[in-house]
Amino acid sequence: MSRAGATGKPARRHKAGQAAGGDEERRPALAELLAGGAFAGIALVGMTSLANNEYLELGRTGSDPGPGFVPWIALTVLLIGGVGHILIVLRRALVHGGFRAADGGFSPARLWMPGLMLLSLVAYQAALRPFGFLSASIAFAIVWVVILHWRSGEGLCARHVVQLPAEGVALAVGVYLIFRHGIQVPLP
Amino acid sequence: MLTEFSTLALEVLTSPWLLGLGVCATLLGIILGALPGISSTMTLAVLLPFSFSMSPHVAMIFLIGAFYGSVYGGSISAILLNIPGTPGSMVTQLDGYPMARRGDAGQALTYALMASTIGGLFGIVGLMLFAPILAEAAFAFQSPEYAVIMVFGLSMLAYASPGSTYLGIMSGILGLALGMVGLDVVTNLSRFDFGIHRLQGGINIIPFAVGIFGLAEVLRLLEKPLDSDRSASRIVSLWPSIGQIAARFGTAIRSSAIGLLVGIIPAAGSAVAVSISYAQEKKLFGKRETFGDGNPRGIVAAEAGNNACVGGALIPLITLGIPGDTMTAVLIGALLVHGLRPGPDLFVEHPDFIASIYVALALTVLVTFLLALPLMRVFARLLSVPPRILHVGVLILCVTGSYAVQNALFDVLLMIFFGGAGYLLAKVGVPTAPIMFGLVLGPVLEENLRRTMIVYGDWSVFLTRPICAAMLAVTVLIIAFPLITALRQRLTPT
Repeated sequence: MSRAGATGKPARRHKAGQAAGGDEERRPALAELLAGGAFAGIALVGMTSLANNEYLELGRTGSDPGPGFVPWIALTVLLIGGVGHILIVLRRALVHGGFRAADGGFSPARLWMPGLMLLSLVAYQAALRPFGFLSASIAFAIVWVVILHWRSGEGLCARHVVQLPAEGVALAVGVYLIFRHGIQVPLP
Repeated sequence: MLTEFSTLALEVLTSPWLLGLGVCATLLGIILGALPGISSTMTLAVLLPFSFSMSPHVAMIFLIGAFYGSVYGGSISAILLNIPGTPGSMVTQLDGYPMARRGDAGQALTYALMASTIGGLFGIVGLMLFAPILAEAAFAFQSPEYAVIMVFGLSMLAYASPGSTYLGIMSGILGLALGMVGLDVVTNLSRFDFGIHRLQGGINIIPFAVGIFGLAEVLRLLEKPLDSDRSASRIVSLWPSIGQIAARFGTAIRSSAIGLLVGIIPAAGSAVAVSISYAQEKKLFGKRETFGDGNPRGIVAAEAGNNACVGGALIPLITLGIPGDTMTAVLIGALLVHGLRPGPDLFVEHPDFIASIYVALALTVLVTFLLALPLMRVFARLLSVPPRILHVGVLILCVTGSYAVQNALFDVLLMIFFGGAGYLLAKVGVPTAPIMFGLVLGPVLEENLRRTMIVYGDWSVFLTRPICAAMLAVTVLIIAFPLITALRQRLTPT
């Protein structure tokens, strides 16, 4: 019999470590709370909109349950479900000693690039009417081809000064030609 | 139906334009499906606007070509790069990539192609056999049955979506609420418009799908530095021996049957089909053969199941209007854009349109088989396209495609909003596909529920009509199943 087995101490410590590790795994991520919060929040916004229209109050018109019937049911379930999810997550956090340190796939630090993309898309959308599809798309494409090239970790050399803008222009012009002249969409 | 099928098949085969379109759509689908990060749903969502100017028949040839092509295309990157192009090809890589690593990439791709073709043919036959039967049965359905079928479909779709079942169901309900945005069809009252007049027309499915499946996916890929180093395995020999092919024929047939049946179940989808097909073959041959280290049988099982699933998923779509998976949910959007409402009436009012779906699927299976072999080396080379070109191209297509639906910049804004919202919801663990299902099925559910109440005036109708009662019971079981499982786990002594 090994010493560890004889005294039992290291074995107990190992078991305790396992339990702690297991608890860490069982702990909910903070993002799970956000999921419940998102549903409850959306339900509240929707309910406010319904409540502000007197014609959408619950009540039958003859045997028709009315235009507010299904929306009210859906939002009520969403609110109860969202709050229920928050409570379940909080209970799990309480039982297993808090929230998980590593938050799975959700990390605010990783959101800056997608956030930048969303902002630039809004700007791109706003620029479509005043500047026209082609100019706005070329500007958007060149900027993002350059950013994504940098993001891929490849270095910049002399040929990239011509190649990257050319790729952006080709993409924008290609899409323009297909939609404008191929399928006759009146692009701005 | 057979007459319409043969007339249309003849028309397509003798028209260079239609044939060319079918070939282009399939090739485009294969290429996009093969590119890592571009799923079949994204392929369909991005290509959908191209079909707006086409007639419904021609649009189906284009869209189903791209759909089936992308499903097959997913296997190319799975085998050559060990990155599944689509969720359905995630099992293909288990044996496909080890085969490629030991120098048999060409043979692995040939096995995948042959299995895909057999699966695709199975899908067509299943679609042609089962769809009319189910449509015939659906004629007996009235508004109570339709209302319950929509609830059943929505529950199944939410249940089978990857991730938490609870959050999946909640997502489906969120989609249902989104489907209520805009003017009510009975009273013309506007709901959830928040003072924005554009919202009175409702949320268009296309910008929503493009945002949630196209833009959200690109946003996810932007989180990490882009991997531009993709060295695909070289393709040397393409053909295995006839004996080797014949030895896996049974696997292809069994897996195709599984893929077809799983495809018919709403939301079960290709990932479930390939997992079951693969597991079945492992069970049958696991003692004699090893799987996961380059066994061609594994590739055949996965690809046959994956492609048979396409035909299967189209069955609930055209007969009941329930999407079989996210790809067919996008296809419903296409039908609605073309003024067609999926359901049994399509078989009576537009039998030629149903025939066009059969012809489109048959054509694309044939085209894939004939073109993929000679072009395999070209597809492999395309995998090295820099991700920057891919992503920026997809983004401009997302913007242009959303605009093209109604020539409205507001739709572009909606697409950006839903892309961002879908991305954030996915980040906090909420499955986003059920939102799409809710958006598609919600208005149909509401219409039939209210029509039921107006005609029958009593809730008990849902319990007294046998089909309604049976489907409600199954729905309750689906919703309660995760709770029962959790309770059993808790009560079982460890």
